[in-house]
Amino acid sequence: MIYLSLLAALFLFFALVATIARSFQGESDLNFGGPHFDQEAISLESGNDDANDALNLEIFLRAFGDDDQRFVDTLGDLGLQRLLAYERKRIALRWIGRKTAEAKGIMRAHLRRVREAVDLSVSAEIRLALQYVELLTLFEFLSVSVFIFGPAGLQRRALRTNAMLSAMRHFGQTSVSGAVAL
Amino acid sequence: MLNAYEDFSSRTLARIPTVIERLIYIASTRDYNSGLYHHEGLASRFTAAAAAQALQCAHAEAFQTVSAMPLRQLSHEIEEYMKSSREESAAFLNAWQKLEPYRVAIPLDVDATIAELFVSNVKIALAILRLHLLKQADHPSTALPLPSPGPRSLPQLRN
Repeated sequence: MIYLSLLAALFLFFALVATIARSFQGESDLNFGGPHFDQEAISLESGNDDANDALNLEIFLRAFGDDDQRFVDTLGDLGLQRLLAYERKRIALRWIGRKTAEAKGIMRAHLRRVREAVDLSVSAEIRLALQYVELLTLFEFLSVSVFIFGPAGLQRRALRTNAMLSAMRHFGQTSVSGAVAL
Repeated sequence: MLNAYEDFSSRTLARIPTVIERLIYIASTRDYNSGLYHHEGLASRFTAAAAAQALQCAHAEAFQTVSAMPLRQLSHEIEEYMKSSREESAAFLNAWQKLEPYRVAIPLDVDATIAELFVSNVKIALAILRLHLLKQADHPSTALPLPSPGPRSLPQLRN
């Protein structure tokens, strides 16, 4: 009974942290997509833009290396160190939020196409659904981890989640495209 | 024969010493209302469309370079730009920190996360320069210059 209570308390704690972390991913003052920014629409259209995506990821991840932290540490100012930690955490959470939205957009667009498809591979669809659940769980874990511990371990996990998202994007398109054509 | 981009890079950009200055210069060739680029000299040598395309490419390239810069290098670049503007350092920092004019240097079709990273990095770099200025004001004779971008030339501020 005690263990069950502990588990429930842990679950509630992580749910609370995830909720707080998600609130950090709220709309930023930088809306570069304009008022009609549709994550769902761009996710499929940008499928052939992998090179750009990789370059952006490289720039993004470079910011989470040790160089900047070491440099700011040498300046010996606590306020500056806090500012760097806060900004990096904020950017990391925003990135996770965007990628989560992108994954959801891919899935929604895929489901729309699936409804019109006549020839579907059930095993492929199950695989995609499992991949989607795994990805969302990873993003949730990443979000909690960044919120609690900061973005220190983000680099490795971000590469993995991004690769999974990219695979899902391609898979979501190719698995149905043939069916739609029929 | 050079294309518009190469011409712009070799004739104009090569004369601008820092990447941040290049970025601000290229962004200034963009119309605020339409988002279209225009450069009289380049358009007369090529076509208006080719010139706009070249400016757009150069803008994206400069923006990526600045966004990927480590904070040490970025603060050094902004410091150089501040010196070249011939404004008082305090006035320059006040304007940049309050008005955030660097936001206009963001290209139109840039990745939102990279744009946020750029703004965030510039904010931190300005805070670094502000700290440096305060240190200079407190101890004018002992204040060290801002660390230069080269890793080997980084002065030891604190052990």
